[in-house]
Amino acid sequence: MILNILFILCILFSGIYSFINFREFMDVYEIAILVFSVPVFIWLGYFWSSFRKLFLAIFVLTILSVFIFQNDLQMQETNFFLKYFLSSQSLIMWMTFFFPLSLASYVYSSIKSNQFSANLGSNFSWIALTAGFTGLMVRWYESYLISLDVGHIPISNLYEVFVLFCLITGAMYLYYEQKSQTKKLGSFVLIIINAAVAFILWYTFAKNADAIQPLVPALQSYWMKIHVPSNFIGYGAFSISAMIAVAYLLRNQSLVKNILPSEYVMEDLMYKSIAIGFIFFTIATILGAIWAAEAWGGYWSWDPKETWALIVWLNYAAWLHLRLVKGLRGDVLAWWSVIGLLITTFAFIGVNLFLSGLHSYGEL
Amino acid sequence: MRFAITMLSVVAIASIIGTVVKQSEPYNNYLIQFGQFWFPIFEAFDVYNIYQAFWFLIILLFLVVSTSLCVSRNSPKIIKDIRRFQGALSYDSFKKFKNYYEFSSSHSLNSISEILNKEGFRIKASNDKDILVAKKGDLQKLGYIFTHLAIIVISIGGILDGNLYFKLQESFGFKKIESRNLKFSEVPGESQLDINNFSYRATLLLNEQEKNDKALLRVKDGYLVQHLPFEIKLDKFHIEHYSTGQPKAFLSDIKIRKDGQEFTETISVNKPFTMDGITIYQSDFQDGGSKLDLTLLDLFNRYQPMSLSSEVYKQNSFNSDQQEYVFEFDDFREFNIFQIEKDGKLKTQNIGPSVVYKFRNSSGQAVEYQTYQNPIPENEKFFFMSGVREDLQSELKFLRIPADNDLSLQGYQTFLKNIRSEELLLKNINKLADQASSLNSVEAKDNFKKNTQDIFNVYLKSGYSGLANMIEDSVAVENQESVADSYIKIIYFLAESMNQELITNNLVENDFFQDALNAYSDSFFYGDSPFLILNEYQKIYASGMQLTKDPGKIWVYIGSLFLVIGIFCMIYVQEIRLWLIKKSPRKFAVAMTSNREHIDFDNYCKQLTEKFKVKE
Repeated sequence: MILNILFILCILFSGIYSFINFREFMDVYEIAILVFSVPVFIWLGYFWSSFRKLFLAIFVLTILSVFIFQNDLQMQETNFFLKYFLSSQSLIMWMTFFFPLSLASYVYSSIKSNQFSANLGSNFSWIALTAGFTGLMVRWYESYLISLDVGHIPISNLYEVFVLFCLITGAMYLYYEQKSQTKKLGSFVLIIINAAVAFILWYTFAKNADAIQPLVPALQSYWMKIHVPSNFIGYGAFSISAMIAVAYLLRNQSLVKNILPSEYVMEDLMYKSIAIGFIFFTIATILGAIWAAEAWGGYWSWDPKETWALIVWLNYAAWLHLRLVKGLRGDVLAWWSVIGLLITTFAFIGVNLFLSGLHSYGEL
Repeated sequence: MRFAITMLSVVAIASIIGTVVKQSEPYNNYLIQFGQFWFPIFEAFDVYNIYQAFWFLIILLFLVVSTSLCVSRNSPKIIKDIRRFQGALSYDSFKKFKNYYEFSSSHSLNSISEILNKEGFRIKASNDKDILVAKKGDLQKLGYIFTHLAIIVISIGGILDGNLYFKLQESFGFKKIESRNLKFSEVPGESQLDINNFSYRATLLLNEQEKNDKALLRVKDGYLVQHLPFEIKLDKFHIEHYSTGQPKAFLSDIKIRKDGQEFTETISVNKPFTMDGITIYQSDFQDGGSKLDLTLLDLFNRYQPMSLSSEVYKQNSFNSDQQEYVFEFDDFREFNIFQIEKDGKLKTQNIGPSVVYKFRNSSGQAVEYQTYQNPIPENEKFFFMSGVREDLQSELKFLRIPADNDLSLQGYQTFLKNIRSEELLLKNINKLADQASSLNSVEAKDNFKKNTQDIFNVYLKSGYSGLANMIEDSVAVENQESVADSYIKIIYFLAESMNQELITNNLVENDFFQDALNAYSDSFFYGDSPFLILNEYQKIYASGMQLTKDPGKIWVYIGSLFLVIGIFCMIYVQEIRLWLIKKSPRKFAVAMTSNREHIDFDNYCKQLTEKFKVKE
């Protein structure tokens, strides 16, 4: 009860504080997004009780970090707590530390049927989520410390969206884990998250990609705040579905037979994550089109990223059609979901890597 | 249906091809890329503009028609289904359902109806007092209509904004794509589109202070001229920068004149301006003929000293030794953002203007150069930089001339003058010979002087590579390295002592000479152009704007809204049919079924049954 009240108070406080203090820096659309996000977050907490704890943890840590920073970016070099714990870079590093631990715990629990280790796996993921989300929040704040005009929401380049991907996928997985009351899929879903973690580490150390860069003019729009997150809910959900599909396809292998949840549960989760992913991906693509109409002078330019988004969309539309209308079930859909992830991955990274076009914000 | 799926796959594959083959490039690029054989084959299939290809549009059109047929055929069925209740079932048959429960409750059938109403069920009016027939979730079926309608509406919007109308005009011979390089006023009428054209995405490139009421419409390997209902004048284009130098905003101050009225607007990326259904976007920018004031630094005593006044996109020629040389100025960039190492960290920094030009010699060969105005910091020293390349595919190779202590080229110019002075050379060779204690006979001294002079002259004539050739030809392999070493030392010693005046005047530091000698040697790979010194400039921009008229956009958005609603209904609305029978005063049986049964549905059925049991 106290938790609920605290949760709602914190959201209201954040919303009202931002509105009063930063109103003049926002245009009407950004204010609308701010106002709208308050009920959305409250609803999310109502819908999923664990989200309240996550939110409160992020809230407290972010406030603490901002408090220690004292509006001085240099503090992240000199202050012990910032340097090792509460600056965005170290928070994200902590995230990259806890996701692998989580995977290891899940795998161990699967092999040894150890419930304690499975719980540990979930908890490590929760810690990773807290660290990662706080990291992005603090990074948002840090960007304004660099300079007021540099400040922007940290979902603008490949490094930042990869962090976002890990977090959204992790959060969605934990939701399904609670809902379906099985921790047995952790060893599968955490693989894809850790692949992204590996990329983040490589990208950070080999390419110094973790530096905060100012926004190019094309990205300076309130649309980014809604287009990018909804896209990544889509990507995250499709990834979860594909990893569950892998588990599903392996269900008769003697090695993993006993460590998987029932066929029925896996089927159902596969469908649910594709369904939620599809809705968000549809919305993201539409929002992208509206943004493109404003920034590039046309809602559809057959830009490679747009075209591949269409192909991803058609792919999952066909998947849902086969399941919902034709009533198809089983291995075919599982394979389809795995292939779907390949297509999605190409749309997400491959296009930036191999094809050129308007969407070239995330080049390697 | 099967045919529709095949067509949809064709669209998907064609779309993928379109992402792999870069679209709407100049046709020459494709010819180079694919070769003589494949180029015309791909062209026949419109691979270079696949999304505007006639066959592609026809398939899309077919898909729209087939979806429409599908909707019109199924909709009546669906609507009938929504209106109609399922029939009553005999007790025996609904026992077979998976979600069948028997329960006892003190509820009357009426109060159970109320519970069902609260849950969103509709209840069939019936005369039978002991049986309830109910259902909910009809929206799920409407979802089908919504999604399919959405696809039709979006496609119609897309077709409205496509160039199908022009394609028809073209195929009947009313319109023709122009591919010659003409002024707008010279383009024949059959390649001009009037202001009533109902959709287009045209581009307009204006220099500052220039105006136009016609825009360019790129089609395939040519273009059309699109007349606008107003005239646009570009007052000024400007770039705002972050403190690190990266661009923050591209803005065009424009004046729009229509029927004697004038509107002043500023457009920028993400902030277009709409008038008369035409939206004006900031899309790109380039140089608009900047004015340049230049001095030429002759690296090899080849040309007369001279200054130059020019403009970007202009040519300047001069004669020397009865040969004609031409400067062709292509671009002037006021800002160049470089990653520069500072205190061990890479920092982005604006290093100032650069000029891009071609230098054409008398035989017509051109080499491209990019020369920076300001010296560029490198390891606490400063260098004047100029890149050179012989063809546009290769990377620029840089000539790096060290700046003197005043950060000017004066030091290097003096250096050039001094090393070319024979008098200074002889004087310093004598000095060197006098210092060398090993030369005890006059003959040995003269020999040494002659050899040293030869070495230096080879360097003067062809740089370090000339010396390398000389050593390779005349020295045994095992000694080459040590000989080269001593040659370099001799040259360095001479260059330094010939330029004592630079040091005594405090114009350069000692480490200047190594860099200067390298620069001189590298000049032999620099081609014929003198080194350009940019004294002054006046930047003039050209702003590229896009003009979009898309009446179909609103339909695309409406269709998109339908799509989201439809998908939401199809996925998240649970359709349920329910039968309930009162077997005896307190005994009931209920059966529920859905066209989509999964875990959530089963759980819901259980929960609902629990609700029937309890008496509030």
